[in-house]
Amino acid sequence: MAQTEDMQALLDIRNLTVNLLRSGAPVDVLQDVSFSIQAGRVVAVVGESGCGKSITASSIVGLLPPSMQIASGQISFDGEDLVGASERRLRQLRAKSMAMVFQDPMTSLNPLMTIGRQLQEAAIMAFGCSTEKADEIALSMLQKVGIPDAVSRLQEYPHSLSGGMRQRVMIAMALCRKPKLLIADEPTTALDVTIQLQILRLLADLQAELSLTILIITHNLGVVAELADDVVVMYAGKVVESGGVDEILKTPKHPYTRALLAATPRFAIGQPPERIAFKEIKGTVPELGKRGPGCRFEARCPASEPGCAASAPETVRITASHIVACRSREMLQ
Amino acid sequence: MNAASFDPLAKQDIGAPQVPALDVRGLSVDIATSRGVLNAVRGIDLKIRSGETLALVGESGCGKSTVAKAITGLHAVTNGSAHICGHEVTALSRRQWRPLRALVQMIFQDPFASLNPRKRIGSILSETMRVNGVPKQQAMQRSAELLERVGLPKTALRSFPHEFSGGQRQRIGIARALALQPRLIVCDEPVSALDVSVQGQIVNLLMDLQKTENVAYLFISHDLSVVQQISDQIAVMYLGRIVEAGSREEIWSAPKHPYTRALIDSVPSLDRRRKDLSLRPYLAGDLPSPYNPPSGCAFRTRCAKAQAICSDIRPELQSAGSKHLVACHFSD
Repeated sequence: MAQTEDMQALLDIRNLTVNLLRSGAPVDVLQDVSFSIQAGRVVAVVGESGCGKSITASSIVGLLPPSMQIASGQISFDGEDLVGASERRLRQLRAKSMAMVFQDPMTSLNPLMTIGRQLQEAAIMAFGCSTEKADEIALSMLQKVGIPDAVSRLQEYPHSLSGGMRQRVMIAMALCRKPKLLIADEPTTALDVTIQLQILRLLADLQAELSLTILIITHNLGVVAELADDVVVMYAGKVVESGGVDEILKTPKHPYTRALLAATPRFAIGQPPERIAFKEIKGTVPELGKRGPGCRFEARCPASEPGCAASAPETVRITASHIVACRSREMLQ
Repeated sequence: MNAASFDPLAKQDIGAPQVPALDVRGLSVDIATSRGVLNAVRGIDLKIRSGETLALVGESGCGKSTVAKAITGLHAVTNGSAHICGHEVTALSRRQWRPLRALVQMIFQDPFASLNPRKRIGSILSETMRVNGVPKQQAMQRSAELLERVGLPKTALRSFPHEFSGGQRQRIGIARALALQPRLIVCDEPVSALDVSVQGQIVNLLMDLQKTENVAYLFISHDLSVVQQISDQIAVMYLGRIVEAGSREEIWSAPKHPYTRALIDSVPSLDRRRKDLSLRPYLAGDLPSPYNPPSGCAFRTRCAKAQAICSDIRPELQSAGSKHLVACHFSD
């Protein structure tokens, strides 16, 4: 996605393949995933359930479930190789340089600890500072994420907060570490739309103020449009297309990206939508272990050609930043 | 309708066509909890004509799912009435409900939780018919027809739920709801758990079935973009009350309540970018506690237009056009 290839990326993923270990031959959950994130950019990885977007995030932070392992490829973060890194080193990085925000803030916060203690712990883990200093950081971050009456909130437990407030606390806890990379995995999916907009605004404001580098994982193209600079579209464990946000949303080249955009409802006040059927994508995503050697979208693809099922498409570079994995010349026009 | 003459596979007697599929008047539901009494639904009116769709929209905690439970007899009603095809259903015993079950069915949000994982699809589908006295063979035959009707192969009868994707399971849920040829299906967030490409498939299937089966839907959703195509009427709920209701065209052309407008405006749009975010109007704050709702208009604590009158006097639903009702002192 590098606008300028020569610039050192903060995160660079090359040909990452992750296998699910199970009886019989291992099957790949991710295959040859490559993309990079420049410092200060917001990159969205978008795709539907099972496309591997969350597994990509787990691979970066070294939190793959025990049943999965990295089979090949490189992940380099700030010049450091993460695939061969020790568990101890990954733990250090998670405590300070790479912070994560998850979909469900209720299960990611400790229900038995006050908000203040959890934020304090995050700051101490990151900086090894005194508890007084950590409390100071905690309070300032809680204020920064727009929690009203932050001083008294520090004494409260997660259950007494609303879903939106909990997600703000999660973001504050991530910011306590002054991370180089913030990974947000479906951060607004569990929230109501009006609260979702609050959190999107918060992330945009924080990004501008702190020049944060954000990797956001989402299934929602609207969220991608409103937040991202660069977009990686995944399907069935592979990257099918990546590029700048306007390249992906305005001039999509891959049939899957196009179908996904067409299936996303558009509307505006003042224009009652026509009462016509949604544009649907026929069929379903191929299951793990039943993915052939060819293009994985082939069976559902309106532009599939002879040969698509037999071998995987080469990636084609459309512009310096826009890359697509499709063999249909018609699509690439 | 009495149980003796009841033929579960015959088209139900829906009375004269002008009898609405659902007619709810002044429905209130109070729920006793450990924190006190929660007035989950406060005097709402809803009407769905035969074969039409009413979308009931609102965010979590607004009471929309409680409405669904109340009219299907899954939750006791405190006040008001609900007629399904002319039959009053709010004060029925389980036994009294039984012959009416064929009239109203439900489709749930989570297709993983709403199908028994230990039963084959054939048994899941035929169960409702068997309970209503349909012979086994006939029920199985109809199950196979239903599967084809929702776009699944007949061979699925022998399969278990785990063999299907989320979208396919939702199709099975729809087939089960159709088994007794209901006149009303309550769809509680039927596509919220599905991927966007599959959402379209399910909404299209529901629209298609409505035409052929002439079934009415109460379509409950938190997402106005999902209901934009399927609804004939839209009702927007906030903290237990309907704040705006009207035809699909009226609501989309000119939403009158600030909350409806905010709901539509808040949906992330493909046409906006990050630089636009900080300029966008948005709703600050959280939903107030339903245990202790604000005086007057419940929305006033988050409303940019709120003035003194809003905390003193609760606005009633008033006509705002030929097919449009709104409860706001300063409606657009």
